[in-house]
Amino acid sequence: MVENFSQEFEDTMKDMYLIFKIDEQNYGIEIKYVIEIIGLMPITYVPNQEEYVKGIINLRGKIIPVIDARMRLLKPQKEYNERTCVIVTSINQFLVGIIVDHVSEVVVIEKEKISPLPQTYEKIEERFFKGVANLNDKLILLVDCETFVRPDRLTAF
Amino acid sequence: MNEIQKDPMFEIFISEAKEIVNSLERTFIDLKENNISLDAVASEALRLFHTLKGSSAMMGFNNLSKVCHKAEDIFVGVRDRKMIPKDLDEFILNMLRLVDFLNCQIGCLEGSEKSASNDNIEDILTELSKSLHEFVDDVNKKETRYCIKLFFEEGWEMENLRAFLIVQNLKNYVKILEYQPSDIENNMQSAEKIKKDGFLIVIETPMKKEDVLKLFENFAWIKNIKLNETLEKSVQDKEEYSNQSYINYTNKLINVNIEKVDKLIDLIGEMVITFSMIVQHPEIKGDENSGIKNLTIQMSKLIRELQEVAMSMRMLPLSSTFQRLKRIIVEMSTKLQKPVEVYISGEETELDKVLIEHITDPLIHIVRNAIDHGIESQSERLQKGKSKVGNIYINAKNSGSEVIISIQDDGKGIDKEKIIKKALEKELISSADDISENELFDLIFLPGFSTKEETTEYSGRGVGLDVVKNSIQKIGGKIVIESSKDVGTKFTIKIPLTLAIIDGMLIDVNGNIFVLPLNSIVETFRLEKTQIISENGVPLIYRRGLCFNIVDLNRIFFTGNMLSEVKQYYLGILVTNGEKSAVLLVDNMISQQQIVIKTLPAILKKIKGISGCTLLGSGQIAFILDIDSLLER
Repeated sequence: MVENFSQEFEDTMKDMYLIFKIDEQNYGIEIKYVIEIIGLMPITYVPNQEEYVKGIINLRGKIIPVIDARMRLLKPQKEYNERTCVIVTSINQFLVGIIVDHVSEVVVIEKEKISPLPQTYEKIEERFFKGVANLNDKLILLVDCETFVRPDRLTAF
Repeated sequence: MNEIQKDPMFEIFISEAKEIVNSLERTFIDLKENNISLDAVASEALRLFHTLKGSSAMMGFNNLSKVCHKAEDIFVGVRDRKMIPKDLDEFILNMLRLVDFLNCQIGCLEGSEKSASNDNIEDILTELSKSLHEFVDDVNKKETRYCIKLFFEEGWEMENLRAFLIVQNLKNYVKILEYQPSDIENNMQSAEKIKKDGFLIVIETPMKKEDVLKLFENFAWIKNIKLNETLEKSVQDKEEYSNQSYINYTNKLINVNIEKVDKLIDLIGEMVITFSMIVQHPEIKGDENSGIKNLTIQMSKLIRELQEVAMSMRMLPLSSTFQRLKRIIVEMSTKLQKPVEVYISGEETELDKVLIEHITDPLIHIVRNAIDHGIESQSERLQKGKSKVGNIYINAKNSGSEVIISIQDDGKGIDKEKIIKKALEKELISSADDISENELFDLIFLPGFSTKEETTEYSGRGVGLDVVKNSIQKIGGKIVIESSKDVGTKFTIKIPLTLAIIDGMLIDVNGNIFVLPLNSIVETFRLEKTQIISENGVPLIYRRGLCFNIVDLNRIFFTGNMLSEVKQYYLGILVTNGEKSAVLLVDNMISQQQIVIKTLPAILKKIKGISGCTLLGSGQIAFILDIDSLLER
């Protein structure tokens, strides 16, 4: 019974992606990882972390780390503004917030429309992305949530 | 397997099974201690095995239920006096092995233990039946006296004659000693008496209680039967008493998943924070007259009480841990032929469940050491003019925000010469002269340090005391040894009451708030920059004739530069972990308060000097300083 339910639940989320933007580039993140989207809130700096780990926030009593997608993708830093938001994701039951320029929409991208990244792409990006999709002439890079969020030096968390 | 584990029924089964196995263990230990008669043990064990058999069969764990079934057979034999243990000690040891086996099986099912015990269950059971020998002798069957009080249904009348009928009927089955009122046959007045006070019969029979009750089933007009075994011997007195206590024990407890309790504590923590936000809200803060202030004071009292109750739900008494220790002592003393008397006190002392799990293994280790190394053999003890029976005292008590557990034996004590010799051999110390007693005893906590020449089944492999110390330190505890030759050894362990809440001092470093555990603070003072001496880049300070290292928190966590140019003075906080001390440089002290510890998210890299974080009343996050690792820098 429970199995059926979760199966169904998964089916409704299948092939759905949340689209967020950094500069003019669109990125897609599988909806099954996304818990909620919140506005930027005060971030407590945590010493001795990778640069892209901005710190931790208090999400209704839960303490979750936030990482800056911009810095994770080695893009130049930009001041946060009112459109900046945090995508709260749950990966292997760990909550992690991802700071992005802004989120735009939820779209369906069928498996057939996803193609692998071209060989010429830089190594670091190859790790972060599962593939690329062309939707209404917009190029969407699909984020591999697990490698994107996981610290580089740790193999498992 | 995973599917089974998710099943709430499975969880209930596991926790119930564990409880049953614990009760079994307790019962056998009681038998060993002569607190309880064999009969009582047999029926108690029978009851427990029966329950376990039923529930494990229901869950489909056939092996387990088969084992229980066999054990049941044995105890039916014991109860009905068809089997009598040849050697009671041997029997108890076997029973304890069976308990271990069950524990191991349940652990396997739960997935906490990787492989099943090598002990073959068939072996245990055959050995068990071997140690019992057939013993059928009806004459020897004990007659039990029962006191039966009957109340009759109203409206049937002629109670005296009905009572007489019962008496006549019973005579065929049991010996009737007396009944009251005794003149039922010819005195019609007795009917009224029976109506009011009931009818009392005293009988003697080898039958079991249940069978006696069955005798009365044929009489339709009986409304109510009260049946008591009349007590003949003091042993039975005890038996009755302990039976009673078992029942009370199980009735008062419910099993709750610890995650639910943790969730409750989390929610209350959030409530505290939200409430303090309400109180701080300008509209309420500014409003002095409307009585809201009184209400908020009342509310905060309630919330605090609620928090305390929730925290106490995580607390468990140490009794079951001590029970295990006692069991190990009993088992080892029989095997090593060193009779030992155990004195336990303070087992009602409560401790956080997680902490109890952490200290159980170290305590077991210490107790094993005490019997194996500490207590001498019987002849040796007699030579020294001690009593033949060794003594081990296990004690627990509350002291402030700590629990102190001590384990003391009256054995031969720790041989200091041996330690020194060994330490010199291993080049741990350079000379035997300038070493204090405390430092000396600290040596035996080093890895690979064992003074026992040969290893035994129980201890002496050199793995041990270092693990003991580590696991106690891990939960913020301390361990101290006192020992003198031929008088004995005493281990004292101090542990914080709970991991979840500490008293902390909020401090400000470069605009960031940190929490310093209050128990590590020695003193605070104003510190001029000129007082700091820098020797080879290592900042030091002299204070009251002592020299302390300086830990600049701002440098460690933020800038990386030593001592900013702008500031002329700091606040110095002298902290200690009992061994080392240092002075922390901070900008300001804010306030002192109780804080709820939260762990840092797992994907963050471990930060040296920070043990966790907490939420402040404002919703702000503050880091908790880890004094031990700060002092190691």
